[in-house]
Amino acid sequence: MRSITNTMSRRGILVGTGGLLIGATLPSFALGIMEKSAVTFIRKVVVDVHIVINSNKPEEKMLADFESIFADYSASSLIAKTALGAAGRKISQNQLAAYIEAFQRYFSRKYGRQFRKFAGSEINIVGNRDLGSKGVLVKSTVEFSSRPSYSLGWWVIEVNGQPKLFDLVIEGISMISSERTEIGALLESLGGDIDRLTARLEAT
Amino acid sequence: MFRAIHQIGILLLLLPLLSACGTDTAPADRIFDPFEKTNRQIHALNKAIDGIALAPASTAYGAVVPEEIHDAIDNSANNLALPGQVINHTLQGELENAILTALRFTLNSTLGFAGLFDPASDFGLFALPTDFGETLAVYGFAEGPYLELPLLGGSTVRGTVGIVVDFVLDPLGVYIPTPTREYLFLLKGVDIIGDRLTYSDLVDVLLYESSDSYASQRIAYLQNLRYNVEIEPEIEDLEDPFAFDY
Repeated sequence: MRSITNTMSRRGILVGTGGLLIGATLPSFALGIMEKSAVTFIRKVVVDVHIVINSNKPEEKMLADFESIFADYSASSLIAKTALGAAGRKISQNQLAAYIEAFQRYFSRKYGRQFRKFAGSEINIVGNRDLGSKGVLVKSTVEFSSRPSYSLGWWVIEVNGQPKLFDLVIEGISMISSERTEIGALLESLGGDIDRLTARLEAT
Repeated sequence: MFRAIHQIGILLLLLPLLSACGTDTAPADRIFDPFEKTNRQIHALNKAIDGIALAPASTAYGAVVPEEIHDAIDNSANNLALPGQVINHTLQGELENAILTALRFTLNSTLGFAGLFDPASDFGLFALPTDFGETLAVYGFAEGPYLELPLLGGSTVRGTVGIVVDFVLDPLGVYIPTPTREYLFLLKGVDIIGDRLTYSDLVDVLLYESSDSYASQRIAYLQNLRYNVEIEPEIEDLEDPFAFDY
């Protein structure tokens, strides 16, 4: 039912505008994230992602680059806490901090590997949806020359006045939902022990 | 065509199964899985079959069968699914997709040597897969409880009814004589092994790297399903990003 629209290659335009945007200052987010600003933010993220996936670096270097993109652009501690859910309320500040750190590394490496598979693709922003106080969903398609494209949504929220990435939605599948399922199952299999969960994430 | 219309009768018999499922729209994370216990048993069975038979068979297949032949088998099997998809696109009122799919079938069946090659994709005419489960969704039937089917994996009650109807309505199943039809079944079987190879990364992550492969597959299946039937979650149904900002 979903139709695939073939768009012309827009890498030139994308990289061109992206290059300009990196130097430009972002508009104020004091009034909540305007849709336009969220799109501008994601354009910037996409430019950086393109640079990494087309850099032909070895996997470990690429994963390190994705780790820093993740640290710069995402609401990483909020993502870690959302994946853990209510279990995080019952633990000490130190345990929480250790978990968040382990999760961030586990998470950025896991999804960095996914992004590597986008090598040679074009990520084109095709629209956005205002989610009110919950932020903005920026919609994009990942296009390949020899394969059907697929959809990639970027959920942007405002944290301390700055736009941050909260979730990625690939063909409708939410990364946060997947990770909540994963972390919940892992914690249960470890008898609800947060320290063992942290150790397990560090080892992954 | 008359036969196809006649077979709609079977569909009408199946519909009451669905009407009991309710029609509420749902948040993205909503899971309705009253048969979880049985589903988990079937999941364990599927995982065992994958580990014992499908995964090793696909590895051997990849080692023995050249990529060109693997592609040709995959193209063939996918091509044969297209007439059924034309019917479903039409029933859904998606005429543009129906025409594109018919065009894809025509190109690949002629220029593509009876579907062995996929010249349509070279023209940017990629597959637009759909099924009768999606057609039912368009007509407003709720997805019903989640089901894991033996060998087939994740589905819903609506999706399972769709699989049965697709099988019955498939124009190729109706018009192709018996010996050829059996050959086509074999082709589909081989293609499943090939697909296991093509999607090995994804399958391995879901089945063997998840802490609870049943739950991981279920949420991924349901979210992708809802995306494909274009149910955009209501804003109030989306989770609050700040709910766990402790």
